Parts: sequence; structure tokens; C-alpha cells
Amino acid sequence: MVVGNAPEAADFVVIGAGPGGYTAALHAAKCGRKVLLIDNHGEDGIGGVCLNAGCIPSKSLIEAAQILHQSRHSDSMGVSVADASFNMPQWQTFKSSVISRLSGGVKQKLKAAGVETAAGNAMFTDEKTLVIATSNGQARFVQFRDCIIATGSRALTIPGFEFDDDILDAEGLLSLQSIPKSIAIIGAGYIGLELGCALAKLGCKVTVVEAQDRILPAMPKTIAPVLQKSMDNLGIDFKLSHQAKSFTNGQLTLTTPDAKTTKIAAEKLLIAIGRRPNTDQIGLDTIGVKLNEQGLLNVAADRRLKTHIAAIGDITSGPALAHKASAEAIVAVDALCGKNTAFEPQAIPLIVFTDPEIAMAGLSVYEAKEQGIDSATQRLPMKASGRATTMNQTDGFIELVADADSGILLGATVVGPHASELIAEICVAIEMAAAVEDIALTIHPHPTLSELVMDAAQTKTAS
Amino acid sequence: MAKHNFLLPDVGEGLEGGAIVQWLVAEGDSVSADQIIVEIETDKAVVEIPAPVTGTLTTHGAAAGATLSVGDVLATFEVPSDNTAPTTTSEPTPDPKVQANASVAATPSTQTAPPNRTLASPATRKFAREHAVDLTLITGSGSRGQITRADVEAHMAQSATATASQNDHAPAQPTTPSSAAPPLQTRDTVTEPLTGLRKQIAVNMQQAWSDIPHIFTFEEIDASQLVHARQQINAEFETQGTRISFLPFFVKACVVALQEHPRFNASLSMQDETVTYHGQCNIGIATATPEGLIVTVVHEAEKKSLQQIASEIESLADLARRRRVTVEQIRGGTFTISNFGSYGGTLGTPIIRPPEVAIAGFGRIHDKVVPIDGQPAVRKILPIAISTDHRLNDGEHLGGFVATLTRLLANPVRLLGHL
Repeated sequence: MVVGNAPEAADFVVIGAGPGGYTAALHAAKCGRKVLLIDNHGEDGIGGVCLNAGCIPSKSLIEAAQILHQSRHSDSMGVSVADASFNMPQWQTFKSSVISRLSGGVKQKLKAAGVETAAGNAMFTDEKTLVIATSNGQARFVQFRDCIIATGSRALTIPGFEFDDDILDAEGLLSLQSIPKSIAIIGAGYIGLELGCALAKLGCKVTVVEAQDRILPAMPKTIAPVLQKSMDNLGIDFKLSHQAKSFTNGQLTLTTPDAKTTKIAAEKLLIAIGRRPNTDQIGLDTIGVKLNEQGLLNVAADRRLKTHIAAIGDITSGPALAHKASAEAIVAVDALCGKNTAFEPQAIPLIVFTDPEIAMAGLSVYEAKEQGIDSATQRLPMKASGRATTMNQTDGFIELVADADSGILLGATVVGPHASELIAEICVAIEMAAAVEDIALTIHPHPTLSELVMDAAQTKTAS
Repeated sequence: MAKHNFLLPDVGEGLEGGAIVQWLVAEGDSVSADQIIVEIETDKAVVEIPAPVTGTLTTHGAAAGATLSVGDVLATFEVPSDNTAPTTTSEPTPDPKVQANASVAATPSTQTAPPNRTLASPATRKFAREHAVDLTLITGSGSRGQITRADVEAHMAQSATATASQNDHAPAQPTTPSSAAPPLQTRDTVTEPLTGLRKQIAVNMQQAWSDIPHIFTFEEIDASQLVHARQQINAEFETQGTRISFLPFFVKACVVALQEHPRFNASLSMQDETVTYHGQCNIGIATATPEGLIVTVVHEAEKKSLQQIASEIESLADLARRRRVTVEQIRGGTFTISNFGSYGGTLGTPIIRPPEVAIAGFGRIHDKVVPIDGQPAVRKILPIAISTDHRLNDGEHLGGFVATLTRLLANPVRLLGHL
């Protein structure tokens, strides 16, 4: 610590105001702690990337794109809309109102809970002290009793590609004032495909570039074909097993699988190859914390790094998802308040907001096999759903994975309309150690999409 | 495959053996070297014993509850005869954390469940964690072996009954909450072996009581100023969230009194016919734990500040309650304090811990009417009881020591000179 800077005492400090950080702050306040919530962007950072630049804005664009798309492609249902169009500046206004309403709600809750927020970059000076460097060059020393690190992640880029007006990350894309005529998206992971679907529906010519030989390379192979077909129908081009080399003057240079060079024209370039954890500017060295091979923090089951310091969210192992961070926040706060606790979910749902949507939870059949579990699957196509048929959205399927002996549900994959909503029931079932038969015997409302979960549970098993 | 007999190692200075608290690895399970396999309760603490080899634990040397001596076979392992050869019995468990790490790059895995999961709902798991119940020890009552909250409560009640019959103090919790009043009944008469900490306490106390001719003195100290001083000191540290109890003040006062009266910070050896006057003041603090009294030691208390002493007492007490104190943390005491006021006691007759020669007991500070200048006044009264070994100290010595303690505790400002 710098001599002459007397630290002020703080009871409970949270670094980062994203979904993990603000959930931790609220829960700590509820547990009777006096909370200081620090974020680079201060009050404007509340909600983090998720609320301000990620999940929420992208879902509002995806929703708008879907409405436009349906208004243009519902002739067979007797609906024809003349001159359906998309006004991006108006959408930006809508997006801002969504963000301000939601962040306003969080701010109100934080205020009511007595949480103090501070703007600045927080760095450890030792295991008990942080210095907050504010944007106006002030340094504020804080000696804390307990601290949670929830600094999240930021978009990764490729060497040689710097983000600017034409080379964008998802946040940059969602800030545009007009839909580009064409775009190349590097990375066929969930962020690239979600935005690719939405942009294609909004009239943009989309080309997806992926270094591996299929889309969604980190997901089970059964999913990719359904989505690929649907994206082909949207007019999206794929350059699989291609690597991006450079982007100049609207030309993206690629290396083909046979090591030749090819070029595609694109007005903008979106880089969506993944995210990197924000672990580099918080002074982890000073508290003797090292990163693991994945560049993440190794935390204990109760999310603690040290007796009085915990870490949650994208900077720890596991999927980099907002709902995982929020769930970890509760565990970490309880641990720092002296409770015996652990982060031990049986299922963390993963959603891809493409068309159709993809939702997964628990073990896939491949993961079960890798773990030496004898599993059995039960599967129905979305076409078997009366409700999906009435919606004219029958692409997809539901697949349940269960332990072959006990019938206990291990996991599920849902591809289809509102898969993101359907997976929640399955998560509850997995956490409760329900058997597939429990789902089969639970009355589901008719006619609904959720009914297909029950129907799938009633089918014969295949191993 | 080669067989490896693992003998109970010497788990602490002078300890002859221990009782098995619980096995953490079942027979037939594979283990890796340094993985904790069993908890052993010695006379002083619960010690975790790691596996010496990587292989399969084939047999337990004894069941939980049994007592083993150092050198007895604790467990038998089968180890691969060639270390590079893969073992057929041990399927390496994939590390879910590592697996889940496609994560930050584009598309994460959603898998978090270990292959042999415990079947219990999230709320039941949380309940078990909060009450430190190991779910793997419970057989679930559900149709597929799911553990319900009622199963956990039944397990806790069972453990509580077992503890109660061992220690004869904790009331057993009812297995299920009953709305009707329990019928009046005679409890069963139970005889069980005296083991573990209780046995050690029994041996020590009997020896101390029969060997040492105790003399006691009792005093009532006007603690009004001490109460005020503590309030002021706690106000000083309020922003840091620390609160200092009376105990660290007692420790500090005893240290000053011991330095003024070295005969009380001494050890007596009748065998060698020597008296050792200790330089350091290593103050033992008696801590009540569910299994019995454990005395942890604040070493060289004369060098430590009030705050340091306070935090050390707190962490030692926590370790003692969890039976995780090391041998170092209970050794080398030169004087002991029993703070029986913390559980409401007024006066007691503390028993000296040989080879120490004195012990101080502090009672509960309470309001009492006392004459001040011939008028009744209400004052905060701290009762103290000091025992010393009459072989070394006479009544006059004891009077002097108590007078010093009284002077310091009644006028805590004087203590300032020694802080």
C-alpha cells in the first residue's frame, strides 16, 4: 500500500456489477452485510455486458427480426403484410428503453438494499486492501472484510484483427444505426449463429466462417444438421474449415481447407470466436492467485479463492453464462458469511437463440458415454407436436437422456420454437433426480409445446 | 497387482493410537496418493490420514468407532505392480471443471454432474451442507434412492442421539417433529467404553486432582471501569467490524500479573525436584466443545496486542470446536484461564493442569449492590476464582497475585501501561 493513503473500511466488496456481481451485492445486503459494489462504469455498468451489450440487446434484435421474418413468410397461413420493414434507429430507441427499464429496476433494488456503488478499476494491493482507480485519476483505498471478484469477460479477437468501425464484436454490431448489406461472421459458435440468423432475417447477406468442419463445434453432432438446414433456408453461406487471414476494403481473405486463398466481400465483419476472462487488471499477483491452464481462477466448491475472497462467473471454470454467475453469487456470499455451502448444480442450461432455438441441460448421450454411464435416449421430432404444427414451426426435436438402469433423467436437448423456455422443466426434473417416467406421468397442458416433453418421455427408449 | 499394508502412523507427539471417526473411502474404491481416506480421533484432535499410495483400497483395518494403536494395519491397498500399467479397477473420474471448459471459447458444455451423483434435490443438498451432513453416508428413502430432507433430519437425529449417549449432555432431537407431547418414559441404561477426548480428560483430571494440593481464593472485582473501557475500545474498532470480548482483557491482565509474580507462571517437577519459572506467558484458554473441554494455547501472549490475542482466541476456539487443532496449538501452556462466565457461571473451583501451577477462573459480570462510602450502589461485579498448587505457592503468594489482578482489572487504565 502506498504510504499516506489511509484505507477506509468496507464490510463487503463486490468487483463487477454484471449479473453475478449485482446478484452477490443484493444477496449480501439481504444477509445483513454493508456492501460496496465497484464497476469500471459505475452505475452505468450495472447489469454488465449481459444487460447492456449482450444477452438483452441481442434478444431484442432477434425478436424484431423474427417478427419481420414471420410477417414476410406467413402467406401459407393466410397472412400477408405489405411493405413490412425494419427501422434500425427506431429499434435502437426500443433497445435503449429496454436496457434502461431493466437496469433501472436493478439500480432501484440496489438502492433499496443500501448498496453503495463506486466507479473505477479495482485492484488488490494486498489480501485485505483494494485500490479503486477512478476515471478522474483519483485513488481510493478500501480495506475490506470480504470480497467477491465478478469481473466477467470480454470478446476475443484474432491476431491481426483489431476492433474498429467495420470489424465488430457483438456489442459493436448491436450499436449499429443500420443493417449492413453484407456481413462475414467469424466463429460458428452460439453468438455468431444467433446474430447471423437475426441479420439474415433483417435482409443482410450473411457468410459464416468457421475454422472447424461444422457449425456449433462444441455441441453434439446431432444438433448441427437441423440448424444448418434452417440457416441455409435463410440464405446464409457457410465457409467451414476456413481460416480468416485479413480484412481490408470490404474484402475478407480466407485460407481454404486445401491451403489456397479465397476472398469474400463483406461490408462489416463480426468476430464471435469466444470471450476472454477479465483477470488481467485486478492485481491477482499481489494476492498470490494464479490462473489455471484455461486462464481461469481455480475456486473451491464454495467459490472461495482465499478465506475472505471469492470469485464467480466468467472468470471461473464452467460455462460463461449469466445464470451460472448469478447462481454462484448466492453460494459465494453464503460462504463468505460463514455458511457451509457449495456450487453443485446438476444441470446448467445452455441456450442458443437461433431459429430454431437450441437448449441443452445436463448430460448429452456422448457425455454420459464418456463418463461410463449406460444411458438410453427417448426422442420425438417437433413435427409430432400439435402446437408446433399450428405455429408452422416444426423444425427440431426433443431428446431425453436417462440412466438405462434407473431411468433417472440425466439430460436433454431441445431444438425447436421456444426451446429456451422448455428446458426449464427439464432442469427441475434433473435437479430433483426425477425419472423419465415421472415426466411421462405428469399431466402437461394441451395443446402446448411443453406437451412434447411428456410425449417424448412416453416413447420407447433407444440405447 | 501388489498388496500394500498401511499401518496407522504416529499421528502426533506421544499419542498411542486413535479411534476411527469415519472412512471417507469405501472398500473397493480407487484412491490416489495423498487423498484423505479416513478421520482418526486421537486424544486431542481429529486427524485426517491420507492414502500412502495410488491404487484400490481393498479392506479397512477396522470399522468406524474401533480403536487402533500406532502400528496396527489401518487399511490394505492393491497397487499396480508396474506403475505405468493402467489399473483395471480404477476408472479415472473426469474432472467436470476441466470438461466444462470449452466454455469461455464459444460454446460451453452444460455438463456438471459427477457420474455417481447423490440423488437429492437442491434444497435438500443445501440443508445438508448447512448442517454439515455428508449425504454420501445416507441411504435415501426415495423409490430410486433419492435422499429427502426427512432422511437428512433422521440421520441428524440419529447422530445427535449417539453423541448424547456418549457425552450425556446434549438432548437428542426427535426423529420427526411430533405434535403430541412425548409420553413420560424411563431412558435406557447404557454402558459404553470411555474413549477419545472424554477418556483423556478423565485421566488428566483424576491425576491433577490427586497429585496437586489445590488452594483456592475467590474475589469480587468492581468491573465498572473495565466494562466502560471495553465499550470505548470496541467503538474505536467499530468500522473494522471487530468486537473484542472480555476474555482478551483477562488474558492481558493475567500476563501482567504473571510477569509480576513469576511463581504463578511456573512448572513443578517432583520427580526432578525442580521448579521452572517460564520466560514466556503461554496462556491456555479452556474451550467447551461438544466432545468436552479442549485447552488451546496463545503462545507468548506477552508479545501480543489485545486485538491479536482476540483474533487468535477466536480462531483457536473455532478450530477446537471443529476438532482441527494441531498438537502445537495445545502444547506448551504455562498458565490457564477458564472463562466460565461465558456460559453463565458465577464461581467455580478450577483444576490446575499439571505441570502448570495455577489457573484463573472468571465468572459472569453482573450487577450487584455494594456499599460505596457507606451508601448502597449498583456496580458491575466480576467474580474470579484462582487455584494454585500449594506445594509451590502459599496463601500469601496467592493473595499477592490476586491483588495484582484485581488492581489491573478494576483500573484498566493501569493496564494501558503494559499494552
